[in-house]
Amino acid sequence: MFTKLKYYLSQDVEAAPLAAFRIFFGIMMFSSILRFWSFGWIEKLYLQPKFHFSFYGFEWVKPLGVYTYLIFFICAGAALCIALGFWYRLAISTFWLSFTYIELMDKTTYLNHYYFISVLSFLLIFLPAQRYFSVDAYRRPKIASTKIPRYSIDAIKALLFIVYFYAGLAKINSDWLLEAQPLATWLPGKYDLPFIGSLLEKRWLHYTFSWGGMLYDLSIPFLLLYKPTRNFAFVLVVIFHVLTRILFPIGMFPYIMIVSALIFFDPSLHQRMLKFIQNILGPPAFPRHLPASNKQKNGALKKVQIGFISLLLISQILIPWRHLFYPGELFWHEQGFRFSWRVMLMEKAGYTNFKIYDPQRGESFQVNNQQFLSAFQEKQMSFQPDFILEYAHFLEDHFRSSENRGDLEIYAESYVALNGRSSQLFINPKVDLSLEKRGWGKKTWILPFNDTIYGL
Amino acid sequence: MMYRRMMGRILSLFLVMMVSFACSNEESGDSQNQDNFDRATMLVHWADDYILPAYLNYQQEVIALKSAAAQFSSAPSLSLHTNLHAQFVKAYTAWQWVSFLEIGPAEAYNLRNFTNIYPTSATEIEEALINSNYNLSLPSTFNEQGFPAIDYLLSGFGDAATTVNQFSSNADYGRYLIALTERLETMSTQVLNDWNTSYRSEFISNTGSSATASTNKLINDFIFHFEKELRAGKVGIPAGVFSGSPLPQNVEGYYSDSLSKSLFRESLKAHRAFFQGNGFLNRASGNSLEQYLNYLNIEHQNELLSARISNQMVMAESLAKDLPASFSLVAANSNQDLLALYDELQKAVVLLKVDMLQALNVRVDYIDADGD
Repeated sequence: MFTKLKYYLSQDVEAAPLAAFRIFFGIMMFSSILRFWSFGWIEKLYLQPKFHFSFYGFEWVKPLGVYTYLIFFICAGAALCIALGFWYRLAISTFWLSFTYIELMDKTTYLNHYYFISVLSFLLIFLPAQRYFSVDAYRRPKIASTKIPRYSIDAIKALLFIVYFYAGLAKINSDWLLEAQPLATWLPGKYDLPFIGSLLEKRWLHYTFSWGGMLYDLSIPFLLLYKPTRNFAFVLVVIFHVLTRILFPIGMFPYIMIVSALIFFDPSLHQRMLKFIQNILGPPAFPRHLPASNKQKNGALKKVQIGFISLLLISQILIPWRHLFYPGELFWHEQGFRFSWRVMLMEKAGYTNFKIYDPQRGESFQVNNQQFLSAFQEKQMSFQPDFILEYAHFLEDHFRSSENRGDLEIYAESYVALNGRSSQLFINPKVDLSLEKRGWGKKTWILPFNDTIYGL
Repeated sequence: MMYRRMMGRILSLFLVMMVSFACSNEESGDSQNQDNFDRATMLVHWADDYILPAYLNYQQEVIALKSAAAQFSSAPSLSLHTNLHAQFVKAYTAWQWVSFLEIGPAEAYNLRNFTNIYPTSATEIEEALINSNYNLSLPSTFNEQGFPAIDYLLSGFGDAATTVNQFSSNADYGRYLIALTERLETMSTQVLNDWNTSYRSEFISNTGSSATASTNKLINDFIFHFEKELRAGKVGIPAGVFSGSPLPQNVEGYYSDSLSKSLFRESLKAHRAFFQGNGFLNRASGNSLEQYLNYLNIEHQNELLSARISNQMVMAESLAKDLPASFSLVAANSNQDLLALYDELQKAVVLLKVDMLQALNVRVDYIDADGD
């Protein structure tokens, strides 16, 4: 076992796939940030709101006023350097830090695919993606090589495997498979699409898409790994993600996934792509004769790298299961819902208002949420318990300091609807939220879900 | 050769991606939909049976208000005051039917803010009317004009006799009153003309499902108005829901005193008519939100969602019917009645904003961010 592992870790493969991956990743990230900026979202999502929702433990990560633009600028610059393979380790580390900082600034904007980028870029810090077809390799032939350790490519495949497979597992539930929800809610709203618009109201299509989506997510990692089905799988990847792009407001994610899936292919494909790029760029941009292998001199460093990669992958396997620590319906209480590749599973909406009771003055009043939150923040806050609690605490602080009040009691009147069900009371209206603590403890003040959803 | 073919494939792949990118971004406004519920006819019904006749009616009442104001101002008398106040009530009532239509021209001209911001500012009005040239198109003058300001001029000094004296002794009041009614007339005419000349066709052809499509926008306007103007503005704020103690002076039509309830009821009636597709006054009924929900067969707890919404509105109506005519007095003397009405309206907001929006898959306004 140990010798097998040792043998595996010593194996080398062609460096081209990782180099191509690095280039695509850098370009995709650069254009994502450009797109984000061009839509005015930096201003709208990070500068305009007066209040920001933080991840527990990361309250210190906040937008930095106009300097927020600087973070995005650094992030975009780092992405370009990644694509060029210029100061790669520094670039990818900077990218990971700045991108993750951006994501931590306000959890209102949390998306699984942003989380995916954070995890992937962290992984890339430990992979030798600069050894081939990069400015680094050109300038410092010492580090250049045509081969890299096999595990560095396998680690990316493993991460993609986890993302798809867990997304598929999460779809094995009664709402998705038996009710075709939330697709049955979402698809008819796209009635105005050319050609397929009128089909999108059909019940059979909702079921087809639901079951198809589940089977796709569960099987695609295997189909990509297995060489005889690889081409077919890639066609499926393109069809699937292009379809999601057309049907849902999903941003850059489909393109990132399509391009990422190329990592499964044989190095010959990547060689051709690199050659194509080189033809565009002109005559040899890097030394023609590279050492086949460039064994790392520092064995300890390699061990640290392998350690980090293993730790990351193991945590990725475990983190999605943390919801098992919380009783009740996961979709309802959402404790352990994020960071677990539960994608497109819920249509959830809420309406949450806060009543503040001032025992010293003996008066109570309600809050106009729009005074503090953007429309987007209010929408997200209205159905996610950790948002509701954090906002309740903010309200207590705000009214205590701005109106010179003593201890306040904060009550939520919250109605939430899930996957086409009738709205029901969400938060116990008798619980003073100002006394409840944030954190990983069970949120006993969430009322039980009136229905049952079976499945994982 | 192999290489060529491979590159060809990759290029065509990117082409597909780019095309899909372009497709999904475009507002596919003119595509036909063949399903049984024709959303396009809903827009036509809204435009022809509700919006246009309601705006026309409003404009006619405002024109009449302008001439009544001119008559009274030129020769203030008790009978002309009675005449003018009656016309003021008629115009204010007509306004309730168009208040939530903050789309297209009304949105562009900021119609609601220039027409009905209350409480109005007596101090600012008194300061403004001394000047001979007032610029009523400044946003800073929201609370110096519109119906609340006219309300102050007609009833804010005391009884009718006092008002007649005030107008007789100081011509500034008459001048300002005429300016206010002229402004209402100009704005209503602009909005109506825009609808008649160009916006109607733009409205009914914008049938898409994007956040900027007519259906999405008007549904959002409708719910926003129900929540912020009807529930909060007309009832919740005077009842002290947001302030801790009642604010009787913050009712709509405060100076006329017995107007607030009837304006509330008129507005609720308008919301229900729009929801049910009844059309404006005697106009034809047609496809509307109620029919849309029924078409999608949205049933909760063995009851159609559309019926639950209508019933909830009727519930609030019947509660309001038995209240005294002045919400200001209710807020001061028996506020719990106003709070009870607020609670019923709140239930309707939950049904509209959570259940209906989810069922119709209408995205909430002005949120454009990616999902996953």
